[in-house]
Amino acid sequence: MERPAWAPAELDLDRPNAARMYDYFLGGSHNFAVDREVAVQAIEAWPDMPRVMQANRAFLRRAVRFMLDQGIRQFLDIGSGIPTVGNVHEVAQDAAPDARVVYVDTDPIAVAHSRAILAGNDRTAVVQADGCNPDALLADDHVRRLIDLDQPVGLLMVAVLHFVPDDRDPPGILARYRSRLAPGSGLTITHASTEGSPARAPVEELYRRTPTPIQLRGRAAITGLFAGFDLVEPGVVYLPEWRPEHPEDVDEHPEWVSGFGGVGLLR
Amino acid sequence: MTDPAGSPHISPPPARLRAGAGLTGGREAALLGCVQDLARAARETSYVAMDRRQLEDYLQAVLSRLVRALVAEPFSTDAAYQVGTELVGAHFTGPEMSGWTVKILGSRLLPDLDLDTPAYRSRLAAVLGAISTSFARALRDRTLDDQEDIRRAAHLAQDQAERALRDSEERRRVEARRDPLTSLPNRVGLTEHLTGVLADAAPGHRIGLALLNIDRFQAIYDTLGPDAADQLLAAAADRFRDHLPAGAVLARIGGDEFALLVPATDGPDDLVKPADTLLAALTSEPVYAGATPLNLTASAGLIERPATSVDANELLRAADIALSWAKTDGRNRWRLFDPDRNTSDTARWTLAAELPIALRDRQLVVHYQPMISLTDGRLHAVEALVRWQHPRHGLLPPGRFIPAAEETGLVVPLGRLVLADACAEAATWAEQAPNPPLLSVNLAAAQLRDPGFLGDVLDTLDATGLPPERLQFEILETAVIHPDDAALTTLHALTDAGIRLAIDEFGTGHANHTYLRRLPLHELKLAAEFVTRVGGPHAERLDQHVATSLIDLGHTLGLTVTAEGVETHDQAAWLRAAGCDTAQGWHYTGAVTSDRLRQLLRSRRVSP
Repeated sequence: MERPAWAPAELDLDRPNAARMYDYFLGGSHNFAVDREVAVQAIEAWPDMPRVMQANRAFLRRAVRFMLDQGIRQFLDIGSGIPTVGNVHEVAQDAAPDARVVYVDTDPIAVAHSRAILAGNDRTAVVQADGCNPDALLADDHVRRLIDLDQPVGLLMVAVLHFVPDDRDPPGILARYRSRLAPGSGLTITHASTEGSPARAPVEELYRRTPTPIQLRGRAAITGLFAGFDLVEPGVVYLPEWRPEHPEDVDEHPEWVSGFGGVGLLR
Repeated sequence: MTDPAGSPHISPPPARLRAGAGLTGGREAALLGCVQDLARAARETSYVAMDRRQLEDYLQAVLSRLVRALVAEPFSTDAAYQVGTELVGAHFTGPEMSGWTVKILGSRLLPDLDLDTPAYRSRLAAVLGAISTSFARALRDRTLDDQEDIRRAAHLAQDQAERALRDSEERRRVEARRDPLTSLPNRVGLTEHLTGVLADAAPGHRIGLALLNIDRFQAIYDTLGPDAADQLLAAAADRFRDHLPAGAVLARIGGDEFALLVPATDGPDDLVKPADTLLAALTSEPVYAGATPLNLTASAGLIERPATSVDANELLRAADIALSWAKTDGRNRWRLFDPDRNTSDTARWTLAAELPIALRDRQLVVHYQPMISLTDGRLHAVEALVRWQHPRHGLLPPGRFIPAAEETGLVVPLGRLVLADACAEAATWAEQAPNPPLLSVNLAAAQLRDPGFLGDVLDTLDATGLPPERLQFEILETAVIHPDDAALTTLHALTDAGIRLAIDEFGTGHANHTYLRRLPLHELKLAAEFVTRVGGPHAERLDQHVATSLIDLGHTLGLTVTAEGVETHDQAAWLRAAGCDTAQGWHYTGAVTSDRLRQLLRSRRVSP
């Protein structure tokens, strides 16, 4: 790291922020005018945007339930953003009250808000950290308190890796996590893609105004991120196609969602 | 819009439809179409954290309550109002949700339930109105709450960021003043501390500062490498720290340089004792670089002063000067700063620094002092003496700059310059006098060690045309007491070439004169201190005996004996009587310029 660990994180309320835009797309009001302005432009460029976010959120719910079914009881949610509705701990603790969840985000506002929401829930914690530094994150006191690395962990990289540019080496970051996780752990990834949507350019342009520009990747590259994990059926697919709760949840042209998701398990 | 508190006056529905506590199974089934429509609307307008089944169950329950309210007597919109609030609570918060609900229920609920009568239509209108109202109100409240939450989070984050910034600035401030290897204050930290003490100093307050430097650390670094060197420094710092007196401050202000600050002293002892303790602690037992034990020593420069009369930089500089004295005086010791030593040092080193310029700009001039024959008053020889015509300090005698030139090695080019000038001058003397005097030139030990020296001398003689037998070198006794083979070879080569050799300041260097027999000498110059008390009313008998025996020694060895520093007629008379051959000194003349010397040569007389 170029910056010493004790240097303060950036806090710029004048810039739109991906976490608060995501909240807006999901119908939340945990956002500021500057976020809404860009989010509205994104919706104008790509009217399906809110539905894409909903599909992503629904995928998260299905993936968490799947991992719970695999016996995973501890979750690390990287890039958790603003807690809105259907948060990981709600899904997990609804099914397994002993499940533990650590939320991780770089954005200080998202972290402060998450802490307010989760106050009193001692099986959850919120860590302000960069998920791109696995070793530093896994050494964090909160993480160590709630996550036992000798037991399977559900590592959630939901709609976050497209904010990690190639020069930060996403496969290397995931390999670092993989080396620290116990067998039986699961990796969930959803990722905005170059495939599907026709509105790629304006969305990329809009996210350039945020502290986290977006880097879309193709399905093959996204599949490559699961290296070392066994992809469970149906593999890396358009979000609604992954283990739908009801056949009707999948329409004929799932590519409208322009994002892929998958779950891998560590043997 | 309908006010839930004051329900509108709506006529009751037909009695057959007045329901009891719950709906029949038939009615549940009749609601299914509405439930599915609503579920679709919900999924399309908002993210709802439920799967399809959960969502339909939830909506079924909601609708059942609405229907019960619709048929209840007396009719009330309270339940409908509650449903609007609940939908928002369950995150059915899409902006279109309220509209869809009204549309779906308004178009299919009554037909599906087979209740499509004007009276129920009227009740349903009131129910839908209540839902819309409460939905809008709840959504607005929720939005305001969310906004309040996120702003509170932003403020909190901002507070934390500011606190983090303050902490990090403090941290940065501390880091900037701390040496990471030893965790001691660094130079910035020490200077700040020192400045603080000096600023707060009351009259009478004294302060002590010592700079400690590990001896020959560069050699250790070069041998063991940077990692081991760091380990040694950390270990040395620990050793110092363990012996630090209360109230004193230890700092690491450079690679191998430490500082000891004693903020309040009553005199030099209060600094000398702790500094000496630290030096002793370091030498007391080996210091380890990993498993390698090393015996370290350190030198220290000390300054102890009234705190009101100095600034931090002056203290540091003074301690640094004293440290250099400790180093030149042999290391593994301390030296207390002494302003007198500093003044002479400063002048000497300033001059030393300017000496190369003097050589380049030919600011050095040669003056000449005659040596007179005590038997016939003839000019026996002339000693070439260098002077520095300094642009600011005027004419400087050799004592002011030759020691520095010897230390810096500049004495070699300087000697070469003097020799060339003097030989050129001496070559002209034959034109002034039929028996011109010898030219006697001082030779420094460094010149004798210079491998090019002999060649330089012979070249100079060639170039100037001065016959070798008219050139004499004066060597200090101390330079030839233990001559090495090379020096001896050079001396023999000089005399083989016909050049004369004289021992300068004879009698001052050594008691044992056996070395004289190994040297190809021609002349002894008796040091001035043996001459001072040999003549006149205050003559000392012992001095006369010593002088006589030295003169006899010279003659025994077959050498010409010259007395230096002859200042009075009585001294000259006594020396003549004692058999001394020649004399030099103010009694005859001091050193003169080359022009003046030529006049003397032409007049063939030297006063008196």
